[in-house]
Amino acid sequence: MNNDLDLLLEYLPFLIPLIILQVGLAIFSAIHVIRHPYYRFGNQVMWLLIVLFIQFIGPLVYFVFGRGDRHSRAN
Amino acid sequence: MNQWFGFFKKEWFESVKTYKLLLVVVIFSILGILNPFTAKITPVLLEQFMPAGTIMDLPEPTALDSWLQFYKNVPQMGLVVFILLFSTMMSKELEKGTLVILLTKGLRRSTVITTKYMMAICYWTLAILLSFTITYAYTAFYWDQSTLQHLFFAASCLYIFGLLLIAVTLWGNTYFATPYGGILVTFIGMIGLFITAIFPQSKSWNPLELATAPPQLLTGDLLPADVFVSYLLTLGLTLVFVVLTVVHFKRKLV
Repeated sequence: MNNDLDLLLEYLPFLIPLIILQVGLAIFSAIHVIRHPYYRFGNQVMWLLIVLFIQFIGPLVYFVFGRGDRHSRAN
Repeated sequence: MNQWFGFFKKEWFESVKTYKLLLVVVIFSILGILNPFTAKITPVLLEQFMPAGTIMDLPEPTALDSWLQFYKNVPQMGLVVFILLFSTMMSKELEKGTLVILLTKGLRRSTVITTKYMMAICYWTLAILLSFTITYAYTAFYWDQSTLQHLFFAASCLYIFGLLLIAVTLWGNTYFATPYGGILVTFIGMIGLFITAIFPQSKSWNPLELATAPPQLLTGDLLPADVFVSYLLTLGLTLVFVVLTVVHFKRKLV
């Protein structure tokens, strides 16, 4: 067990920024999904799942293709 | 020139507002950290998953492994992400008709294309610089990098290759005026490059060489002179595609 902890400590310089960036991006996108309920396609639950569980490709797809604005809610 | 900078500024604000800056910074930082991390953790993981008692002689990871990861992740993941992000550069404006007012007010059509391409170049520069610096910093911290050759030239190869792909995407996006047009054209272009790469004779000029050669450049198996032709050809093709886009857009009905 002690061995595992040492291993974790050794990789902490990598893990801390990685986790901050990935979790930060996921949470930021999730908040955006909830606060702007207008999508080009799909619904809120779908986008929340995509954004939270597909790391960094999920938020990217949401911001580039999924995010709609208030005025173009035609579909 | 004033007009050019005005439109450039508008493009910049738009890209920040559509979260492009955020996504590029976060994703390429993640990629930058992942490279040395994967290089360092792979032998440890292998050891953990091996059944007890197996004796394996795993070599210690070196700086080269970290850079190999860089040249695997950034051309694949990084470029795909980047092309996706910038695949709607023109089609968005053409679909929404937001350019009509600006163009009737006297904005030159070539300005539109050149600023958009310039903006994408700025973002690509930022992306490469970011992941390169982060990988460089981690690698320098953990390993000795003095054995590697042409470190910066190898990175510039990848950078130039990215410029070509962005130009192709911009052309496809303008020509077909749909978000998927640019991606499709780039995808077909990549397949074409891979098919030509099957023939060994194409090795001396194929632009794809710029994306695949960097590891050999680092070890010293290839010299910068060996990729010189592909380097120039890629730059030339980039220019051709940008000019093609401008020429096509000048005749396009907006």
